Amino acid sequence: MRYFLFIFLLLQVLALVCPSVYAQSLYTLSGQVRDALTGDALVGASLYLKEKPGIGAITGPQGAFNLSAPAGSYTLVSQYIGYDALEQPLELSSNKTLTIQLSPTAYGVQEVEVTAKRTPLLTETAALGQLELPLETIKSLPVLFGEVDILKTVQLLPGVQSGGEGNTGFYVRGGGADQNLVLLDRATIYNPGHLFNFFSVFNSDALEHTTLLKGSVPARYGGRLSSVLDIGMKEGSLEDFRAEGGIGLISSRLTVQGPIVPEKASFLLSGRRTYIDVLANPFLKNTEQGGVPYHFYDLNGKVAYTLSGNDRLYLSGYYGKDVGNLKLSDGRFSSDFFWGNASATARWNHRFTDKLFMDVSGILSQYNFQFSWDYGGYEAILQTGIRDYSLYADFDYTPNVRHHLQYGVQHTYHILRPRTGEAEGQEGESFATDRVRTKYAHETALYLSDDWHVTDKLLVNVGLRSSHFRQVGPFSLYRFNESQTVVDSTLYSSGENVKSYHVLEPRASLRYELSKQASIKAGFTRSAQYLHLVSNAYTTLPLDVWVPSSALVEPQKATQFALGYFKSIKKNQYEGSMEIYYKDLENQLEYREGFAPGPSNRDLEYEFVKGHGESYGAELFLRKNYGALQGWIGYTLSYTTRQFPDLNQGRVFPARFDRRHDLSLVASYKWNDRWTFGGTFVYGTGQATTMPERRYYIEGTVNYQYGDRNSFRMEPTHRLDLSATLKGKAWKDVTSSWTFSVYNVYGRSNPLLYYIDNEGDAFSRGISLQAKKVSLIPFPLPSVTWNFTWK
Amino acid sequence: MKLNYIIPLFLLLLFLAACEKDLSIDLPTGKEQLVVEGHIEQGAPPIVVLTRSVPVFSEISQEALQEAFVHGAQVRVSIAGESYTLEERPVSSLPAEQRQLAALQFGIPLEILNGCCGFTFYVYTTDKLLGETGGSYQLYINHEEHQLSATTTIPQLNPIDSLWTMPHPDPAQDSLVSLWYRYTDPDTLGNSIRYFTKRNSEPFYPGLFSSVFNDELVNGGTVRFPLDRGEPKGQEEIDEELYSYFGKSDTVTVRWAAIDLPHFRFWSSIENEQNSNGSPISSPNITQSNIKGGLGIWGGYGVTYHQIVIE
Repeated sequence: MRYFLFIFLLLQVLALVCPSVYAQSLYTLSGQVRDALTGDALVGASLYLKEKPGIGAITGPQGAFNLSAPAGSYTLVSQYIGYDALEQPLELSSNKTLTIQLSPTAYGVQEVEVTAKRTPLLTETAALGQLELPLETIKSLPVLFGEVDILKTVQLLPGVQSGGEGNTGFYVRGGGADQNLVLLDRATIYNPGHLFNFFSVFNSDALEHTTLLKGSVPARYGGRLSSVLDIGMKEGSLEDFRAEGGIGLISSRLTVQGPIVPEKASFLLSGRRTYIDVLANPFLKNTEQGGVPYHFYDLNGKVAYTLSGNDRLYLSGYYGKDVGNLKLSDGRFSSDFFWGNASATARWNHRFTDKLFMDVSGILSQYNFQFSWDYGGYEAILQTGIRDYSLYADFDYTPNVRHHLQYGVQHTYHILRPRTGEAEGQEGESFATDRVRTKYAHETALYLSDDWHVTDKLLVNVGLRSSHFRQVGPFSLYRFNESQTVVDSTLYSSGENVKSYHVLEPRASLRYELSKQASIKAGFTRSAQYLHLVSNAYTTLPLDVWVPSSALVEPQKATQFALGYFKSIKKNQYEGSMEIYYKDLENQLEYREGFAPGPSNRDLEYEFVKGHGESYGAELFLRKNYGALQGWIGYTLSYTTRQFPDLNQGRVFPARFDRRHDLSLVASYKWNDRWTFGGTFVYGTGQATTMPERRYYIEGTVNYQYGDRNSFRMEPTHRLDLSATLKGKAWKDVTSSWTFSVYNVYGRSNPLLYYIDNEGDAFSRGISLQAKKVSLIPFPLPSVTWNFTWK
Repeated sequence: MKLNYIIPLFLLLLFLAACEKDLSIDLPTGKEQLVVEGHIEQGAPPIVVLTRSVPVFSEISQEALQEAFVHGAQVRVSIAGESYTLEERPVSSLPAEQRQLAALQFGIPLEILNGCCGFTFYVYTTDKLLGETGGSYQLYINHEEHQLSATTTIPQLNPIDSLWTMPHPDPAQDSLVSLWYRYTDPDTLGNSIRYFTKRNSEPFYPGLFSSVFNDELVNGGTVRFPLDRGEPKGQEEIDEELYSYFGKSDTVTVRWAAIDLPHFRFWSSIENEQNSNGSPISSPNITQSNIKGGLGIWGGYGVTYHQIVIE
């Protein structure tokens, strides 16, 4: 760690003191790429010099880019999926700053003509398994209940499996649900689902870009083994005030944005709320519940401020909640509950020189769950949650045309409240899970990576992340005997070191250009994960608990190898890839056999068992980027297993999300200026599950003897969804559109779970047994949404 | 206490919209295991029922049920170095008192145990051993290639302090009351209870969704809580209006049995499994048996009885 720190500081000094050691005759072009209509920054757009195709850049956060080239006259080509490519002359005789505006293809006045020679995006970078999701395309796809959902679109990418019908949970390349790092403006969103993950917390109106990283994850990301879903919020318009929104079946949305100081500062505010409760309550006034006692909402806000040519400041935040109450047994049981995420990011971008950029972020991220109830004369409360305070300093340094360095230091202070309960009776008697206490931990990482253009054909990315995790007091480490009585305990005072872990996470990938249209890539990634969430259910639940690595639980670790072939066809109208991967997972966690959830006065970690995981597979991806018809085909063949000494008698078993075949077809077709049609089709091998094999009787009722863990396959899932968007005629400054969609067009009854229902008792009334399939939406579900934009 | 079951119940409610369909599936037939259902309580002999597990969708008939009994096994119970051999007997040949106990312990109607319907219910038992509180009893079973063993204790008695009733929250339902109890937990961790209720001359039934409590959260404290009326298991539908309530003028008897921790875990896990069968928010849960080499339970009961006449 110390050597790493030394190298880091040395780099910092070098970058500042000798900005032009290597590059006396090089000049830098920097700037931003934006949407010509909305002014939104475009992240992941690619730029290159036509005369020197080896020199190029991909836009990062806020659409920023920089590239260096020797003095000369060039043609700069800029392009972004779903937008018309732009060619412009570039005279480079000094350092320059440029704002590039691209027009969306779908809104182009004329039919798109592919004129520019476009370098492929997928074939260009050294990264494997990195996919950008164009938001414009996402918005024309069919959706459940009319709610555009980023997470459900992510599930349509190869290598990503959905957490079940209508569910926003996802599994990447054989990793668990807790192994995806979901970031919103760099803040971790710990529970990205509303209503048991039926809807994601991301309001698409407030989003600017979404990138999924599942292969070679850059060294600047850490803390999760399987993927990073990097979502950025939109910046408000600097030019004029705008509003957009929509009215759907279950929720309405409104986003307003505009300048605060013209050309300098802007704001964006966005909100969404469900309103079934408001609509239905007048009709249900006299029922026991008195209405639909549930709603959820999301609020997003962002302020961007240009302090100077070299400094920009961003403040952004998210706040969302699911809120409800429940009454049962003639009011003898009544409860209130809520859960939700909150995040705030303050970010300062500074340009030291044309070659050195800095990005400093201060981040707050939290998730809370609370369920309180009144029953039997007791008032009780159950809580869980997590809060992070983070400070990141990231640097971007381009010493010369061959190297692009990224390095930085990141620190997070985690406060994790496990599932705790308290109850108080009318006579003052009180009970609490007093042995389950909040845990504290520091997570620090230093990283360095270099994009090294070894030759014009060979690009190598090497990176190293050095992560360190330290659990600190207050903490009590207990040892229990069979009757769960404490036989030994070690107490740690506040701030005292309890347990620390240090993992070196090397990462490397390379791209070799076979031709202008084809490349091969190979990658190696080692990663560590210090926070864990173990779920026993078919979906993660709001009361699932995040636990830190500690004296009780070791960090999870993964090693991944990947190899891919990338090809662009017809000037990048089509792009395709084939990747194969192998992933080895250490210290995977599951609940012990026989564990039943419920309040307990012991840390949940005592219920975990530890094992090993393995996943390998192949992914095919073919995407059409331009034209009236756009979309993609993704196919994944994969094998995912687990082996735990304490589960399934130590034998290897398929993971619950082991899916042999997974196919997604996604298409949108712009028929004319008014009508756009969308469709998705998905097919997946049946989920692995554990079924009873034999039965026996206890007190006359049926009990089951189960077969091997996850040894039974449910039937395959498949579903077709269709949508049509009708663009209305503009009225004054308002344009609007109607989106009609049908989920599950042919009414496929996809299994969520199988079980054997039994009734009766063996000795008096006799028993009946019937296998049952539970489906969530086994019928075509239509929906309609009206969207508008005011400008 | 019963809060364990409130949360899954609430989550289940939110999933009521899910649709179910009958399904025809072929399940592997698995490997036959021996199933023990055996109890011993203070002042009474041990009674063990030994059956075998059968494929889930195998024949359901009285004959099949009869064939599930394992005959000719060697069954022994030992305590403090003394070993007692249990003999296989049809329950109908046992004294009336033991027939009553078997009906209660195994949840079987007495007339069936009496051999009313051409059905013979076999148990292994002995009249040479009577359970004592504080005793630790080992069970050994040998049959063909199966060798089973288990240990249980009859804990010291932990009686209820008092029973009383509270009116129904809806004043219109003035014929129904809920039963409440007060219980003081001893100051050692691991005390667990299984309860049964009996209304007038009906049989005892264990609590339907949850018949067991454990003192993990209330150790050494005094608890006042409602006690739901026990009901027969496997009912097609539960009458929600009447669930948990007793009626005016009922004579209610509570069988309050102290059990050890492995015995608690067995009922707790089996009830959790039964309650969550078919629920999308839980995965199959393996019943925590205390039988090595087999399935089921060898459980001791330290029983007290409490009665209240509802006025």
